[in-house]
Amino acid sequence: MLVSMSVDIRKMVKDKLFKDVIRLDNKRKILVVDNDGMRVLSDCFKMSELFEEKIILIEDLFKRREKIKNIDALYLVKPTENVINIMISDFKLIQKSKKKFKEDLMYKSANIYFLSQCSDSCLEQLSANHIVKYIKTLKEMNLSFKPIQSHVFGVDQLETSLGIASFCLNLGIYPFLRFHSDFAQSAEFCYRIEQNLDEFMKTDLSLGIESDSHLLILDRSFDLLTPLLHELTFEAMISENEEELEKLQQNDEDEIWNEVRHLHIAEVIDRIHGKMKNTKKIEVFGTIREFGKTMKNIKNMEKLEKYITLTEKLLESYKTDLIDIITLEQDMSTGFTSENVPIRDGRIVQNLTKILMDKNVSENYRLRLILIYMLCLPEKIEDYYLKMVEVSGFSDDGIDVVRNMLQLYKSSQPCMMPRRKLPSEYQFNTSRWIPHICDIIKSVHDGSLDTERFRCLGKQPSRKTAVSSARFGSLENRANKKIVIFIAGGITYSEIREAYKFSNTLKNTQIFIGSDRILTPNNFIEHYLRNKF
Amino acid sequence: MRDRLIELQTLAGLEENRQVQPLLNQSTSHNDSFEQFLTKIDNFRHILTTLSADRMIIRRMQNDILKSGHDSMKTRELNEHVDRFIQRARFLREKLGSLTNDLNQHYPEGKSGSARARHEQVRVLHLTFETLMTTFNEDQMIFREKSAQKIQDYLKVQNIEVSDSQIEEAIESGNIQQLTLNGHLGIEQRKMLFNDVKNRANDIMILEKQIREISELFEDINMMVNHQSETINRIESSVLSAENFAEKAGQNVKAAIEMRKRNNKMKICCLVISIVAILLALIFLQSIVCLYTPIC
Repeated sequence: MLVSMSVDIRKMVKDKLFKDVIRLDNKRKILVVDNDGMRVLSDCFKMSELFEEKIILIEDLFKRREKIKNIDALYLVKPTENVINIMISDFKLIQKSKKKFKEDLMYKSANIYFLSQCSDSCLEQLSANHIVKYIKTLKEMNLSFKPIQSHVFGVDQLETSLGIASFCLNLGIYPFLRFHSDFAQSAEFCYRIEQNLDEFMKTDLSLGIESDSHLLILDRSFDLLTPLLHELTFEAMISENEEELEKLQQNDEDEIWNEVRHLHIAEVIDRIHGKMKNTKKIEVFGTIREFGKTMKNIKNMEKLEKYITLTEKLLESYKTDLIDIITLEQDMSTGFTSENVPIRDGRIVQNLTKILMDKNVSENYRLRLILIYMLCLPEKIEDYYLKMVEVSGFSDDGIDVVRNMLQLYKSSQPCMMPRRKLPSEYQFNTSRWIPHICDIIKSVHDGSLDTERFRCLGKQPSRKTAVSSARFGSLENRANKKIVIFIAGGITYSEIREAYKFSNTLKNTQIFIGSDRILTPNNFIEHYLRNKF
Repeated sequence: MRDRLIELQTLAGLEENRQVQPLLNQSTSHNDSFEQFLTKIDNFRHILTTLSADRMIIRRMQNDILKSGHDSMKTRELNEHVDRFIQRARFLREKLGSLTNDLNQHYPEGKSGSARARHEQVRVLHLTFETLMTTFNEDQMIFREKSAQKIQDYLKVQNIEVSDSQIEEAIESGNIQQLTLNGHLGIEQRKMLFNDVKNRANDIMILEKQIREISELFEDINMMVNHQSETINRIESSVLSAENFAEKAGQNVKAAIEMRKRNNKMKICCLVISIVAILLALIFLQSIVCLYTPIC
């Protein structure tokens, strides 16, 4: 029952597109997409699935396309001026002489699906041109977010509030809005989301205002530490290296990928070797040795081998170069050594200096260590850190980064959480740190979130029990609890992993996490600390 | 989702539900051949759907047999079905092969428009076919494994313990007798048991023959699809690979302009000729009038 209740963002969007767009009628069609349309399609569908539905070709709107006049076109685009102009020129009237006009058509007709709401001026523009005679469908889909994974969504940086609101709309919820009161921009942001949601309410009355759902808006500055730490799950490690990621070509249907993505790298290798053994066992099974190599087996073997080489490579670098650094990181961030003894400043500085002086360690790693030190043991004066940077022989660039961090840190100081208590259980010395988001998710779930630090906007969540249970019955209502967390400025793979963990363990609750980007430690430094000020 | 079609049509001053006029004069020879191609693709898809349905039926029959025990009627029915499946698959492979050859000969480059559509459609057909055959083969493998297991269970009921490898050996060598030797059974019983086990082993042999046939079929499908399968199936890689359509339109426009020029020239010529003709006629008329009447 729990399974059937669970929502998969990708599947949700896929079903919607199937129902409303792809299966429009039973005629052949050409799909024309802009970049956003392509993204959404690519995240949800495979070519074969679309071809089975009589789509004969998928074209890029911005490229020069071949005229195929006897087939209907299906446009899946964002309604920008440029896009509108191109569509208009697909169905135009050419003046041949003073009185004679000739139609110059790209396709038989146009079925237009806008990903977001189309402005009135765009509509007017369409209506004033020849294309209007050939538009058979014109619909707004309200898909201003990207379905990144089953529980992760992304929004465009330029229209974040609209993106979040459209996500809620698609989920069918009108959530209780809460924001982190330490950040003024979060409040404003939250307000804009509410406006967008109210706008949607006007056209779509099905939005469940009664349902038990929460949206919490956070700013990346609420936890600057997590993005800096090494995350040792397979997915996180592989994402730091785009080249390797490309080679793997994983997708959500890849069983191996789904199994290992959130595992610690040391676990992954055992898991994959185990799989390999199983596959081989099938292969030598019985008399059909020579035919036993079914296609799937061959493919699986190839894939497993790919995984193994990759994992071994990652593991190798982890064991030789990283283990000392990561242990120190974990000691500093948790405040305890792996033997559960509280850390001592002197000891930490000693270890830190040793690594900082080691010129074989990449500058990036050393820089991250200093930044972590600043965040975890912040009692020193500024000059102390700058001195540290200087002694380590960083380039000017590195010094800038540390300066920027000092500034950022000062501006968000009140929200830094106190040092945490001893982590109760962990499997690996190298991943003892638990991201702050866990505490937040937990307290949102059991309703104990601090109302001062996380203010509510508009409707208070207090009435949830009385009203909704009367309408839905208590059981269904509990099953429908949805928590959406949005972190402006990026989420880390560790936070994604935690969101999945909660979704899997908390009964009747789904956690969705979204952001404008996914952060790796490097692009966190790049976006936040380099050339920022 | 908001439907704004009516709003648009009102804005444009069109009546509601206006049907799009079918266009005339548009089926050029190029479109005809593309249309034919698409019809062909539809046919292939239809066969694939039939095959896929066949696969489900076969699987249901296999499960049935495993559940109910040996039944020569059912087994025969199953084998007929599988043979038909293989026949159809072989037919499809052949057709698909000739389609591919045809495509490569006549449309070697396919980076834009209908040419790209042709190549992608065919590639995806291959992929779908391959996936179907893979699952079918897997079904067969599982059925085979379970059938062997069934023999083992059967012998166990008669208090005869045999290992996996013993069973495999017996099936391979065809020496079923040694399997039934160990039990403490009467001659009649042993004979019955022997027959039973032999029947099942025979089924497995037939099954293996079928699996072998399928794996032959695989070879060239695999050649075609092989490693790129995941790239082929990604929408992103398809859209990004599209190239700007190299229009022959440039020439067409030139031709059109020339044609229009020629048209204009023709018109002027006609005009001049007709004026001259009228003039001549007038002069002729005048001279005739002059000749017969004493007016001028």
